[in-house]
Amino acid sequence: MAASSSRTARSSASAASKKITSQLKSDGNSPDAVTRVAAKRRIAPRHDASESDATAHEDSDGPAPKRRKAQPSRAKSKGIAAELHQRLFGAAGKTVHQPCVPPTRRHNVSYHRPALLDDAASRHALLAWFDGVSTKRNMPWRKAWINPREHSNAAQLRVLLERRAYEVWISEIMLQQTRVAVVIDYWNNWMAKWETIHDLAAASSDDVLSAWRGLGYYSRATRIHEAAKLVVQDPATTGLLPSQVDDLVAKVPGVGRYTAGAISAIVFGRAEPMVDGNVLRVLSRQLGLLANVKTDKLVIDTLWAAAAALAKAVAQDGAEDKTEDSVSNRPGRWGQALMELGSTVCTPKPNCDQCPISSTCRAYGEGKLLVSAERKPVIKDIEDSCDLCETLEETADLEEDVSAKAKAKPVAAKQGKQMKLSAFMFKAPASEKAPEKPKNALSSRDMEVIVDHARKFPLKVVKKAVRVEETLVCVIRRSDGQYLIQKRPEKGLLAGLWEFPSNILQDSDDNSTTKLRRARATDFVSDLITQDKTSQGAQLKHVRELGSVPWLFSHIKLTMHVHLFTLETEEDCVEDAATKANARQRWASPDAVDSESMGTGMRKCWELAKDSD
Amino acid sequence: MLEARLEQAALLKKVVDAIKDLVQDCNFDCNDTGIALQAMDNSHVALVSMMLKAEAFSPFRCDRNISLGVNLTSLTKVLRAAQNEDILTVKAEDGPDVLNLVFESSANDRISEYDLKLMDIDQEHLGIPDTEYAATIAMPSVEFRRIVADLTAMSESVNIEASKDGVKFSSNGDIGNGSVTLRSHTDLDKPELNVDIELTEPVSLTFSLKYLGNFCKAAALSTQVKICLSNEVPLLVEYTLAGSSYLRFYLAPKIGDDE
Repeated sequence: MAASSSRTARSSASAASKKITSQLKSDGNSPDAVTRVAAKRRIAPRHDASESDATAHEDSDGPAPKRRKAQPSRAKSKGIAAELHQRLFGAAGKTVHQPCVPPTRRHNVSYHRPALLDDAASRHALLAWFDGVSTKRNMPWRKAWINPREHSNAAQLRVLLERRAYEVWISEIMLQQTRVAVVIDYWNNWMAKWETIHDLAAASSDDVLSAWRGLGYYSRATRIHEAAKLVVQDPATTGLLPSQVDDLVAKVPGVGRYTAGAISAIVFGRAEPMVDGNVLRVLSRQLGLLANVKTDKLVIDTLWAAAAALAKAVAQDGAEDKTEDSVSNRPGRWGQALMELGSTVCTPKPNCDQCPISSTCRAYGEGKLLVSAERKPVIKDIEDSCDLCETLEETADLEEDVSAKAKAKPVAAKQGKQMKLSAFMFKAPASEKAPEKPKNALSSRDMEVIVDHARKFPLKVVKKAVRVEETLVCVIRRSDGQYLIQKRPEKGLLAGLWEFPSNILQDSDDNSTTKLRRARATDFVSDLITQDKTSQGAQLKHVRELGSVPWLFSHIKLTMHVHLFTLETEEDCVEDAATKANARQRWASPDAVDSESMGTGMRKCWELAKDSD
Repeated sequence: MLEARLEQAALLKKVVDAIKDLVQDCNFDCNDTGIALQAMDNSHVALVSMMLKAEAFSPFRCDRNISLGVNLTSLTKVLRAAQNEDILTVKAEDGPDVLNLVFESSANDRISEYDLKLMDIDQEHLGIPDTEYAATIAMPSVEFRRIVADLTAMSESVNIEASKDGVKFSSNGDIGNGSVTLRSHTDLDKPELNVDIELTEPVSLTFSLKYLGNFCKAAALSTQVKICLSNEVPLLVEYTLAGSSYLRFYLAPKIGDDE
């Protein structure tokens, strides 16, 4: 955000496109509360971080979910972006072979044409690498591609595809924001429980939620369930997910352009890109694009366009007839290879000496220049100078090894930042050793310099602060041993899950001591009890605060203070089971509480309450 | 082969003691000029550079350059078996698997002998840039140790400010702040108590007291310590040993202090 305004304008055209992007950004991230609420509702039917109206490659939209309203300016920016992408990734483009020289990194826009695009050997190297490692992490959803040409029986093929699409879809949704190791068990359980999409569509929503318990982002589960029902009921699909990205995005709730690309490529073998956070990183390094891949829409679109061009190139590598429609396992392998590379080798701190495609990597090439003796800046034509990249000096401020600059700046840390020796020219003598070694073998020290350079990609973005919240979790035990639980609203955080009555504390109040919290919890529960008919005239007693459970959501740091209450009722209350079944609030036996779907954090609170007996 | 005899085991004992908390494993590089060691701590914030010149030993023999990869914790254990006054001889073959250490006590004709297994340590050798320091302060090593210890009670870091008025060590912490100022001082009777400040321009830098505390363990090696500073450059703390042998520590500054 600040980054875009700090870019130096080099030409009027670049200034114009910049204006458009920044305008887009401010539209998207409007702090206005009203728009935010509205935006939230709108996202509801889809979860994947992309636009549901995304069409194909060059005009597909960025992943920021809030920018859905079509802005008048967007058409224009689309035009500029499309032209840029055509120029960069089109067949006519030429790869620039000379890496630019850090730290100035002066280069033309054409520098960002992926070298992979014109280097079939390197593409092949990545696929070969992936074939060697694809089974290492034991992901059960990775299976051989179903080749439609090998199946003559159309009905049988359809069943196979339907199953496969369902498997991939579930795995991709589960993998959003969740680690592979965690997903494996959940995926296996899920598939054991609902073998086909028809089984899932017939399941109860509580069952679905409880199978998701512990994975987080529960709206994903509700959306999968909704989508499964839709896809099964829709006469056009009857259970088989569409094979085209556009159809997937339009017809399946919760599927955005990433998931759609994954299903279309992995299951149906179409040349579609799939770009997740890992791939954004890999590509930003491959293209030498030192830019904000988290929020800058133009940058994200450019990387998507690059991925699309690469997917096409890869698909054609293996195609015999070079027609547009030929399908193969190559796009799926390619997309997964990029992701696998990003999650195991091209990590935030990359392992460049393990990388099969370092030869086409801009960041690697630039790093190599840093350690080699010859450094001749070669830039002839500055007319077409790149305005997508930030400059290294600017990024240096965000990095650890800043030296002189940081001093002038006010720094939050009171004691100053501890520098490392490497920031002060404590370096291995690079040229001394070089002649003894074969040309392509780099010393470990050289490698470190290269890795350090590659790490600067993509641009580091300061994360938004996590909201800190405290809540009172009130566990109320009635004399008959039952506990009061309630269902959370159907929208928002932990939607539809059960919880003990909870009261979020306001910042303005002082809740620093147990005593204050106790008073507040007692007020809250008294109000609650007076509304509950079965508890009229009962004696409420605050037992004690059992403890505090910290819980971290992606955007909230929550502390749950667990308070135990007992409620002495005078007479045995007979409950009307039928009305209670649908109520959002009910009394439940400890066993019933155990079996309800609850967030993991809330379950920790419950453990605490059970232990207190 | 290497064969080096030290009149007093104390020297090696103290050197190893002074660096073992900074560095776990390191190579002793031996050649005909002496035994050298260079290593960074794990976080790459501090660097130790030791040189024991051939003159420090009698005799000293090293036919071929060899590198002895040693775990310093293990070496400390072995050296604990030596008395300070023992004569210490270290020996190693060319391409050695073990380092042989012999401790001889002249007082009671006791000889003990240890073989320490060596390891292969892949260590990068850093070039240390030549620096003309803006300020060089020589002071009693115990004085420096005391300042560091006292200020550690106040804060995690210390600001060292050298000006024509003297050198000021100051710390700002949660419980308050404190400072120690030294001026140039010459004691004719006891030159080891001299404080000598050479300055070409004023400097002010902040450093982690934890690391400085580690360096100060070398105070046992030398009565005087030399501290060299330049703005925005790592600090050099040097203890000179017998002859032109030395033990040097480099420490990267903390940057962005609000002073």
